[in-house]
Amino acid sequence: MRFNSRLPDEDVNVSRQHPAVEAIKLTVGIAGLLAIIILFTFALIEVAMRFVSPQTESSLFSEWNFAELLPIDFEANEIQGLQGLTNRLSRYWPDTPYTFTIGVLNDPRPNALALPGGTIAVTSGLLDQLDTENALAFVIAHEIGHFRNRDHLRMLGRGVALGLLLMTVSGNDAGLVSSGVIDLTSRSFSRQQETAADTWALEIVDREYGHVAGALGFFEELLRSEATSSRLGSYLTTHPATDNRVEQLEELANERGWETDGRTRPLNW
Amino acid sequence: MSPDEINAMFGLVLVLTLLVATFFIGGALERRHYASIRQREQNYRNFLAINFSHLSPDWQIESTELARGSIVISVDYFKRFVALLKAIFGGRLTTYEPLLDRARREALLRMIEDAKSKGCNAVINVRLETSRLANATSGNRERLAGVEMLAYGTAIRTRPGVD
Repeated sequence: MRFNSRLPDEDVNVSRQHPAVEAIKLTVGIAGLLAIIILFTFALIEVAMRFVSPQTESSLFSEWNFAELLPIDFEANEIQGLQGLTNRLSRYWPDTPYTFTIGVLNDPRPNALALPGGTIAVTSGLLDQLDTENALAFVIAHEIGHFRNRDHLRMLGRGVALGLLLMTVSGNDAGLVSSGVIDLTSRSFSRQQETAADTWALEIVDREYGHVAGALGFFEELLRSEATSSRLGSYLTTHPATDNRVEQLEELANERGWETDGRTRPLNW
Repeated sequence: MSPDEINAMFGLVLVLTLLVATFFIGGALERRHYASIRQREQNYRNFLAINFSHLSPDWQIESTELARGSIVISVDYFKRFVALLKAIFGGRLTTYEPLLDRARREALLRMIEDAKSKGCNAVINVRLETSRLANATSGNRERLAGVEMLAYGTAIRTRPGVD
């Protein structure tokens, strides 16, 4: 018997695919797949939202204790003033299905949130930052504007969907609640949603005070301090305040003939 | 940036750095191992290592012994990451193939080296066995993706003068 000594064939058992090529292909493929899943889920949420009336939403979320989920204070010193202002502003949405409740979120970063069921939260940092009632009215009206467009519900749905997806992908089941709810504080609305809420808010401020002076004071303040203070970072990411945004609103005021000069009311409580 | 964001960012940077670093380091180690494997295969190419269990009757066996060679080997972080992604869709785990190819060839080479060191000039009835280390830490997300490959066979010493 003859023994044929041959070296192993290198190509039989090992693919000649370069691992980097494989990695790129897979990453692109998975990113694409995830994008499709996300878009599809978001479309489903839009459809589902039509079946959830604000009444249903209010009764669903009335059980939620936001004071526990987030450090929101519903008994702060400023509450009376805030609630009064909120009630006055919500009159401009006469057939509102929501009963708005406002609370102060203990956070140094200036921000405001629209939470499911008609709860509005303004941060203590925001209250420190504002000097006029007009500016505060604009911020609150802006949040009420989000309720009109049901952006808060959309964002909650998206938050939960993304949380679930993240959980599935990472195999980590911790923090579904935090990804869905608590992250509402850092999830940004789209530019379009912001513009719609801004437009409505500015109109309400004009109807309440007879002018829009001071309403944009907060954004102007943000812009001025943007470069110097990183504390404002959070509001800028969830509510992008750009030159462009202020300009757009000023343009809108001109277009609608809203008075841009007038006496502003100081905040005192 | 909030502490959570910094945490997430740090984690992401760490993973990316590991991926890039292990891509180059793991790749270099693999090439070096293959170079060693090819060189030794060339050196031992006339050493008989076959999986017949019966001897040819004309062979004159002086003595037999057990020869074995084993290796415990793991892939790098990058290849494991690619395999993890690939496992979503299924298909050939191309980044694991070289791992097992290297393990088989290295185990056989070590078995031959064992037989040679025992003064034998052939190994018959060669067998390969694999055991995985993956389940050793099951439940842990960072599973150890390693295998042990064992090659063993009956090493024989033929009488001098017999081919």
